[in-house]
Amino acid sequence: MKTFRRVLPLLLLTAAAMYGQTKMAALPNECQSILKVLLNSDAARRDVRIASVLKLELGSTCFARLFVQRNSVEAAMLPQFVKALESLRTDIQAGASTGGGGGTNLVSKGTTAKVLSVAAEYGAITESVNKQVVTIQGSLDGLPLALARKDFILYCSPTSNSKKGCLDQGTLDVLRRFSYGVSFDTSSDNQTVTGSASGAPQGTTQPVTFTANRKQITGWEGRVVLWNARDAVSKTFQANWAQVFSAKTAKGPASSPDLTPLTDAANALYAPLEVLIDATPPPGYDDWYKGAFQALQKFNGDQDGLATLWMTQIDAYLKLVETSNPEVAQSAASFLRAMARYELEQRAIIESVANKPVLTLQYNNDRPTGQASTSTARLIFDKGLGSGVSVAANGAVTLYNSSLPSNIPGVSRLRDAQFGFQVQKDLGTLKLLGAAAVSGTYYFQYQNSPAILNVTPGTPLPGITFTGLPSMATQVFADKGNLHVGQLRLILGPGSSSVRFPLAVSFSNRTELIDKPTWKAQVGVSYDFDSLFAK
Amino acid sequence: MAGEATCKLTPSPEDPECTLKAKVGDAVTLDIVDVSGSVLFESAKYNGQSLPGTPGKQITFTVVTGPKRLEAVYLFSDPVNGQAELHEVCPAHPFLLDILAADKAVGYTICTTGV
Repeated sequence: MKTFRRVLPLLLLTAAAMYGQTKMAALPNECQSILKVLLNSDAARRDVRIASVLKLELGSTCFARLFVQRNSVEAAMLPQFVKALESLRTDIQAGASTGGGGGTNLVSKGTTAKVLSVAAEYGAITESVNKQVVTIQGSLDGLPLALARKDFILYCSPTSNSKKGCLDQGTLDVLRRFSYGVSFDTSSDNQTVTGSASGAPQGTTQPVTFTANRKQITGWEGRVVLWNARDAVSKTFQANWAQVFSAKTAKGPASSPDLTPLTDAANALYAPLEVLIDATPPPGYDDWYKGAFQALQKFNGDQDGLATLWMTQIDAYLKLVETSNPEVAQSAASFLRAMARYELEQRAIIESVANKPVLTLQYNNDRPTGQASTSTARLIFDKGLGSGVSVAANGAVTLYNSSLPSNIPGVSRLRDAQFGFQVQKDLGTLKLLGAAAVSGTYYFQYQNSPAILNVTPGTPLPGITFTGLPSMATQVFADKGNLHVGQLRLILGPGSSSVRFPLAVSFSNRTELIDKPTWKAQVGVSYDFDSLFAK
Repeated sequence: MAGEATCKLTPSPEDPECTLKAKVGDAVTLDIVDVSGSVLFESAKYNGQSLPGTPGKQITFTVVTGPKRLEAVYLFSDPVNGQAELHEVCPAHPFLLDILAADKAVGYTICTTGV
């Protein structure tokens, strides 16, 4: 069986020829690449290129694939990863559960999705009452990416012709188009409990039934990117790509990708590379090299002839190495896994530079405390203009999720329509403040139906006090009016952290409830967990 | 000054062990010339020591008694078809080796020919 595996590449070449596939095409892509460069070489560079196809250290990925292919070590590596999986489990809750009265877990864990961003923000813009809202967001490619970064699944190297049993880029591209978000109202006065007498008093005691009458989940959203502007070839892309790496020590613009996962993946390549190439030279190597070098120098034929000659020579070399170092196939497999991780991170940087969503459809289901629930469909347009300037435009309509009492003047299922336009400028890295960006936004809201609040007698709405309200009233509404809002916002990202602090001030002609001009301030903090999970 | 102008690395393809040869104490600068897409040194190590200036187009090191290994991890804007050439920074700017997306991590063995 072992002998069979070791002659497998030569058998594959023969089989490829029988089935009409060229002999070159039967080789791993990485080997084809170096052979094609040799085939098309001018005379002056030919000897250097012959050396490049014969020396393991110059064609490490090609040679590693040949070692793995001959020894079928991929399957043998699996138990190690299962063991690693057990030691790295994170689906065990650390800290108190929700409801324990103390602890750091916002929600109790069953198993948790890992790649998330969390944002806590305080301040209202169109609303009349300030609230504190925590929003958790992620995209559908987050989980497979996290698993690939922990080596639980293998990323398909883009240069490899083997896409079996690994996570390919096409799947990630599709999943990346979909994202989700959930918002929690964490205002201190949001959650209230109402106690109602549920029986006859017994002396000085009274049985009571308690009910919670506020919702903490105040909304959820789903997004799909309808149109991506992908540019991975133009000079502008290459300039932007190089710009990302131009100052490794300084954090780039606020929107630039985090390079830490890429750096970590590159550093993780050195050890397996050294183990692999230190496997040479075995006894007899010098004689083999000189013979193979001369054979290739004399070669003058087509690519299939070159593939056959090279594979014949390399087969002898692989046998030499395997005899002197029986562990070489394991070393090759370790190197390829480290390379796959590096390829994944390299691709992630490219995607972040090359892929910009242009048109996105968003659906929001909002269930704000004390208000009728609504659904919003929003079309989002984004466009980078170069020099760190980008624009975004939104158009949206909001509908009430249920029919409303017809005795409210002007009431309609169509609650409002919105339009917003924003210009943002990345300021690069500022001393002391870190990465920074500033934006200006104009927002218009056509209020078709008045804002409606649900009230429960005896239970005040957070931040709102009613006077003279009839005891039978269950819904109240305000005078409707269109909103014009202007906002200036500064985003700061200190040091090389993944924390961002948005600070904003806005002016509006009115809010949804109050018909008077008002200034408001909004602050927040967000954390992108992607870099954390990439380590 | 005249010494700085001389190219110091010599490819040695016929040598089974050495990729390049130089004299001990030579200060060598390598740079990347793009052929297809843009290519950078993500990082590099010579004789086990990380070299400064990465990510970037150039690395510089001083040759010590060898053979010693120069290891490099390359970054490609086109990770499938990207290609570049490794040249020495000197007046002749000679071609030393190909850099292919198929081999993003490589080791060059630098042998020495004396002081």
